[in-house]
Amino acid sequence: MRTPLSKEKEAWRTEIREFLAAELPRRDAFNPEFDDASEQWEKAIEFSRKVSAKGWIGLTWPTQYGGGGREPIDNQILLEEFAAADAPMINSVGIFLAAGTILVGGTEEQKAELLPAISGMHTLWAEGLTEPEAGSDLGSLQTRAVRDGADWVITGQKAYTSWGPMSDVLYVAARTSPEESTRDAVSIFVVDLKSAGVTLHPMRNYGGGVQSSTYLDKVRVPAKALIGDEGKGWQYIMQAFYASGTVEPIYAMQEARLRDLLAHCRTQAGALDDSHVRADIARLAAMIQSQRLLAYEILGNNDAGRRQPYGGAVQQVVAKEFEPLFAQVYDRVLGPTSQLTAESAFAPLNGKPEAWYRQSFANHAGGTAQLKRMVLATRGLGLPR
Amino acid sequence: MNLNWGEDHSVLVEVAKSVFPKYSPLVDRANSVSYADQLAQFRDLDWLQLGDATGLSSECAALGSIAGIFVEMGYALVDTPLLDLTIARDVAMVLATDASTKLAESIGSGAASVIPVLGREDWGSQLNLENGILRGTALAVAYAENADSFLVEAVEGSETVVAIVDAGSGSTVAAMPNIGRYPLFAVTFEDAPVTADSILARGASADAALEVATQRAAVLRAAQVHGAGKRLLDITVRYAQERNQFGGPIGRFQAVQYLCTDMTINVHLTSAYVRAAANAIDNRAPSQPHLALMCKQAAETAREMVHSAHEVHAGMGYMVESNVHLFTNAAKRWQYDFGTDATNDALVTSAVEHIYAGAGL
Repeated sequence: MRTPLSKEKEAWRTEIREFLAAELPRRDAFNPEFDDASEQWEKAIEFSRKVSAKGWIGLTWPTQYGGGGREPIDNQILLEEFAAADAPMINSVGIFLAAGTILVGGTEEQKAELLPAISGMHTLWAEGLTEPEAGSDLGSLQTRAVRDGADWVITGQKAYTSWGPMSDVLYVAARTSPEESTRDAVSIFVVDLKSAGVTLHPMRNYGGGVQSSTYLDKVRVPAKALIGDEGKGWQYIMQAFYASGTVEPIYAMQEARLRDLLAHCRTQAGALDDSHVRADIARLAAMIQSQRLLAYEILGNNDAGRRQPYGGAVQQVVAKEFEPLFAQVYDRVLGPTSQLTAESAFAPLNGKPEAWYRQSFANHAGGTAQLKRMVLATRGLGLPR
Repeated sequence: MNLNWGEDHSVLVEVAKSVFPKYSPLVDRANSVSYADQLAQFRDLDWLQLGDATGLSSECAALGSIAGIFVEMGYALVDTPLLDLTIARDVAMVLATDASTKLAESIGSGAASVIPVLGREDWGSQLNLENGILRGTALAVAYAENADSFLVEAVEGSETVVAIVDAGSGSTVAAMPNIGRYPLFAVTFEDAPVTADSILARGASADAALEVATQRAAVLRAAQVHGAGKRLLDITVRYAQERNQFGGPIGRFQAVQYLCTDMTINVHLTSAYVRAAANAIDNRAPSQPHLALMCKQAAETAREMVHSAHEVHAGMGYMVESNVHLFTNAAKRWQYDFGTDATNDALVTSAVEHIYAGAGL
């Protein structure tokens, strides 16, 4: 149900599909929550370097910083096709959060040094934003950075650090001015993960991947590790998420799953004649289309310089609430075999639905649906908190 | 209608409370007890011969009371073969032939480990008996690798047959790895001989015995979901009270309160449905629509309770170090033990239609 874009954009989509067909055999399709095994990681790195060589990482960044200088819609199409193909999107923290921050607030030197290293796949970033006691509440960050001569000394704990052991540097949000209001007290640093005082403790997640608890014990970093201005971290983080002008295309991944589901149903006599199954499929199609329409609305608004006061909260609530629903509907259509893992000879679709079900509970990243509803209510509708 | 648990309920519950926590994964993930040890424990507790599916003996524990054991089993999130052995014994008791009575006694004494292999329409599996030869693959048979023999539901021509088949006699057992790491197996019978002696029943009597056992099993499984739901609710509410964000506990937000209250409503409703269904069965007045409503509610609770728990726990619930995923795995399996929503809806709709047509239940 995708509305065709211009011929030029459709040609771009075709180019991406051809690249994926050539460079990403289905057996190498990869889901970042799962495949942290070293063998999969090597494949992901190799694939990502090919993407980088095409100039497709940082597609919307200015060309002088190693970017492609293209429109956000081009990047959205790229992300859609990669999501649909389960292509490895490693270094998403670097490409979106870190690069967004650097583009918004970084110095010219930082832009010139750090951005090409990301688009060239030379520096991999891990996220050091979330904390155990703060979660989505950035105002409660406890990690502190204290100026000591020319250096900063950082102490604190970060939670759910994705890709920690595989990364080079950590994106750290730290409180630099306890007396100021939260909005003026947070600064962003880039910290070498090999620095003295940095330790990572692995935490397995339900999806099968590994995240880390990251401890920063008096980690000394040079002054240039501060991204942009001191105390502007809050604003940078808020703006970083808009910097690429794109929306995470969960709907594209879901559409690929719906396609697989329909293909499976066609092999089951009478499955598509069942009114319950038809109703479920219609629900899935509607939820995918809802997300797509909302995503493209945001894309258009970003392009036109319009920004809704509640950001993308509507799209995010829909995406977050639909993700687990998608898994439930998928289960209902497939029935009890959906609980079988890939090791079972009786598992439909090679056991993927069992894995998708587990992954569907990872819809909290960036804030839960409840939090996004609160944003919508308070910032969007002006309701009291 | 009296919706209280049976009189001997509290005694059984107290014992169950002392048994299951000892090997609950919520206490220690490494906890496990072998099948043989579980069987021995249940035998020593006389739990293998609880209840009277024929409804004739007033000395046996009522189903409503036995359900208390399963509530505690769910509360500790422990898996055991007790339900499977109970189903086999229930079928054998209801058939009440010399052979089946002997079989029920041997299950009840712990002498024989008899695992039911029932037709599972939702799994698309059916066994066929023809000229004394059993063929086909039965899916999702729990604890099949521990069976001395199988109590098999098969189709011969157009009628149902219940037979006892020795494990290993023309059968192979293959593991079915699943999300809950539950011991599920595919049991394949290839030209397995079934003698006249081993057929316990056929036709209407076989159907009736299977129906009684299936209804009782649904009540006990729903009781287990209720118990697990109670525990998950406890864990979730405590988390909502202790987890601070935005200047206070997250439990002060209505969005979080609604998630917790939705869990409470579903868990409480499951308990009410279990007690009502158990009560009806104990009073020899079970009704399929009422049981279908219980099954629908229990399946809904299994789905919804983990969804709400994950939403409240957010990132922490997604970590394996939290216990939420253990409930998620169990619930995913349980929700399929109650038949499909479509089947349950059809049963209820048909009954309602009947009532409004003036025919009564």
